[in-house]
Amino acid sequence: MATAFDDALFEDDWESVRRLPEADRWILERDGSVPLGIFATLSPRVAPQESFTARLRWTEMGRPPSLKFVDPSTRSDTLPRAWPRFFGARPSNLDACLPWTQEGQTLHPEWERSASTRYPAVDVPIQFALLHLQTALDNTYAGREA
Amino acid sequence: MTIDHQAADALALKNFIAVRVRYVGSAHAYLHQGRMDETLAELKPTVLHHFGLVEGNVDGGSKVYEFSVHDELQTDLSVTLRTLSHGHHELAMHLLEKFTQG
Repeated sequence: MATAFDDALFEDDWESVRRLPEADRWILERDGSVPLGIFATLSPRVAPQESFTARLRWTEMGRPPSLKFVDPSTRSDTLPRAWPRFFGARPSNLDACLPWTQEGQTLHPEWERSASTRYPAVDVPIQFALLHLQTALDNTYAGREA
Repeated sequence: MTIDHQAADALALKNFIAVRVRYVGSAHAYLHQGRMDETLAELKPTVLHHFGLVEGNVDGGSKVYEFSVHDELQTDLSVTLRTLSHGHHELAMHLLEKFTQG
């Protein structure tokens, strides 16, 4: 359950992330269906003609966000083809099994017990998620899921 | 100022580079006054210390941070700031966490 603190942190981070130089590469929108959610449309460096719309949702800003890739028109989150293939992504499972995602931490509760895999305390969770996601796309992109 | 001092100052300026490092988990960037011949391996401890981060064996696991420059993860820490900046005296980079995959 999001607190007033989560709301305030989200709003601050949302404002600042749109001023990042990298934001020129993104289309950012609020996800109006939840208090702490955004849509971000990104392209891999090696395939600028491709774009993917990520949906990031937090339940609390101190916890990892849920990451899904959605159809840009319908916002459906059930289409493997909406997913890029990159390090950690499992398009056929519609998730990314990485320590910075809610899905990864849910699948691997043991990750919470190690500093190397525990979700870290960060000041700017939206920035943290977007820059990690963009870096993964830029460096490990392997095409769109068929 | 003597000619020797002027030459030394010119040499220092020639070897100077301003580096802006953004740890992706922090709202604030770190501004580093570096040397063109400084390597990422030399820079890294300073950056980690600035952001209060610890690399290596920590609390049951091994923590690793990576630099990204011009959107590329840097795996060769022997590379110099001169090489990364293509000879310019300014350079921006990110510091990211290296994650495992489940």
